[in-house]
Amino acid sequence: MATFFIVDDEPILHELYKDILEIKGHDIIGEAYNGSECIDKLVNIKTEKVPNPDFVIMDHRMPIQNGLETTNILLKKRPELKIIFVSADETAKNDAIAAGSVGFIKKPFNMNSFFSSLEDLL
Amino acid sequence: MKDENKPKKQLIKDLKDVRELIKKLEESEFERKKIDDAYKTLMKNSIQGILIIQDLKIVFANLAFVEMSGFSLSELFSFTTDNIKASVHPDDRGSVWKDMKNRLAGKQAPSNYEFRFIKKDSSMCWVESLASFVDYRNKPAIQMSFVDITNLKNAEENLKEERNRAELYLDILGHDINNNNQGIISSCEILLLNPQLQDNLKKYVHNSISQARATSELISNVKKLSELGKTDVKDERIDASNVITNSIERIHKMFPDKQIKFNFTNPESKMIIKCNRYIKDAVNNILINAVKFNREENVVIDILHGTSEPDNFWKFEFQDYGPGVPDEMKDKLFDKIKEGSETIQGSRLGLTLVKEVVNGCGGKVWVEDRVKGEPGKGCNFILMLPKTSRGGKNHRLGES
Repeated sequence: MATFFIVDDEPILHELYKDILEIKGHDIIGEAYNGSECIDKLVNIKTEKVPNPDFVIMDHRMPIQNGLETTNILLKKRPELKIIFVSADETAKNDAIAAGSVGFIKKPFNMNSFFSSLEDLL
Repeated sequence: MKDENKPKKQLIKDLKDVRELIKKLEESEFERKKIDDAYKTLMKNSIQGILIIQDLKIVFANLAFVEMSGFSLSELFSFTTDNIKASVHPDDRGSVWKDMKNRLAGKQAPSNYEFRFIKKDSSMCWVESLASFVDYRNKPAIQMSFVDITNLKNAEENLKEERNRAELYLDILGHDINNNNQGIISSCEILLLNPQLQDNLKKYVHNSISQARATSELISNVKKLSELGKTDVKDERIDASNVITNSIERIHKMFPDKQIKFNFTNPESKMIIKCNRYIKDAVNNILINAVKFNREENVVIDILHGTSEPDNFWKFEFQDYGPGVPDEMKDKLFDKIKEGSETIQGSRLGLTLVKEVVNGCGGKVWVEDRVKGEPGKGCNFILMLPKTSRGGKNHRLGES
């Protein structure tokens, strides 16, 4: 069982991640709808104290601050974080890995391949 | 006859010779004047602007150049070196001036180039200029002709902007549709896990998933087709057997509900081809089609490989046991977009991408019946891909 922090600008995907991850007994312990909000919650701790997540699910194209920019800041301040990029933008893959993310999953994914990718990381 | 007549005869002959010589000189002068007049008429009336520059001064300009530049003849003839330089856009000045000086010094310089010319009213026009080293009044000079290509340049710029805009829209559309598809696919997959969902309703959920995936596949193919036209897509040395192995792995993940058996024996040595990175998408698309159009849960695909005759191509055969393709459709499979047509025939573009990629690297793709003469017993997609050796020699189909 692992804990996840979800960063994605689509509200419907937050719900779906929760349902999908709960199937395998994982927990979602925090969420953000853009990179800036993610930084506030995980680095600046402006709103609530978020316990250390095992993984951060990071979308790339988001308003205010995108996934790559957010990852660069997050890993500077909290290098222990494990960030998994989940994005429909495949062109971001190389940059995401170079920025220090531990994996890249392309949307749309099916559940089995998503779990399979998570298994490799867990 | 007596010898005292000889000098008189010689004199007459000499006089005749001189008269003929004078006549020839007059005719030659007449011809020279005709040529000179014709040249002056051509220069004066040419629709191309013509300039002659000598000792870094303008010594000749035709009417077309006067009209093009907005400067009068007297203004042009009184141009200083700085004035000549100032008539070229600052961004182009360095290279144009350097070429002019090189040409005047008899050194190598390009004979034609495009630059921005600043007119008298400070407006700018794009010109294409042809320059040559000439002898003008017995001294070295440069003759330059100018054609206004501003409209052409504007059209090129507009085309580039339109293309960039189309690519941006494609990118945004593709990304957002894929994001939406994620919502559809994940929702459907969660629904399928619900034990209360009746079996007879599950097929509708599966249909939704497959349609969402098909939309994503279509977007992916359109994006790749648009990428293929770009000059930064380079050919690489690729191990074709690796491409096939990776593709097989991907297909298993894409169709988790199907039992797919690939009969493929990895070759003993590498099968190196020279192709761009989209060859993996081409192979994926062939295999996706082979699985997708087979309604059975258990799917078998045979992948054969060898060399062609003559021995400069790798030959791959992808044989499926699906419904096959009627003879009248075989040629049309790969051409979803017909030139001159405003409609796209069929959808999904997967095999169009295959053809573009394979043809682009000098190969060939076509489809036959798996069992000759029996289209209903499955297809045999045949791929011929050019071999490459370490020497980098690239063979194209049809060449020896």
